Amino acid sequence: MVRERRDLYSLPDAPLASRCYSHSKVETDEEFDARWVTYFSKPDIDAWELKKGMNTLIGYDLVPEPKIVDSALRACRRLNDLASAIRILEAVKDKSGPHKDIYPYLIQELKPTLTELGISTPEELGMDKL
Amino acid sequence: MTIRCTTSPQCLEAFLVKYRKVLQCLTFADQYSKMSLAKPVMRGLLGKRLRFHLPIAFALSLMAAAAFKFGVTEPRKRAYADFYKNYDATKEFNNMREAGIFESVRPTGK
Repeated sequence: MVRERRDLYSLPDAPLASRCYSHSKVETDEEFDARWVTYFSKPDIDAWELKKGMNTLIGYDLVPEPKIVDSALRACRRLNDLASAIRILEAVKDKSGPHKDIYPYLIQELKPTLTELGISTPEELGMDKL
Repeated sequence: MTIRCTTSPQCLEAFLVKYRKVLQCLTFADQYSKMSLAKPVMRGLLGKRLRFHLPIAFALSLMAAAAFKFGVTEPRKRAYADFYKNYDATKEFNNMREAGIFESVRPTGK
């Protein structure tokens, strides 16, 4: 019942992000990134919006930019959700698929944020091994 | 040819302390051994993979279908056609009758 009134128009959602070069205006990569940074920067973001945002973001054919992940991690901090923060790191690692150079780069870029917010990486917790 | 170091240990130590960072840079020691990673491509990776693999997949599938058609089904159809081209049903019936496999007609008793 609560979710009915959820304003889904606030979601920076799919249609513009898909690169079909039809009549609609094509969004640039920078605009896309800015939209998602803004989405996660909402001061009173709630847990549902965080989850929905992450799930939508993971559905795209891209690995999120460090600044988007940074914004999402800060949203996790506002929500006191360490589990989601670590899960986000696992998710972006999985998104890189066979491209092993993406995740180390992301961690390199996110290191200051991870230190500031006190987030351990899955590797530090030994969670990357089965 | 040996080279004798004429600097005193204290001077040498002061020099090393002062120029530690420079030396580390030059020798790629410590944290400078890992050069800062360059930004990799992070967008459109699946699209790129599909654009490469899907045409190959379709081509291979079509080739497999064509190979089966011309390697199996066509020879099979030809074999049947050849068999029935000059098939004499009556003669075959009589052969079967004589062999005694029917119940409705007995062999022409001799």
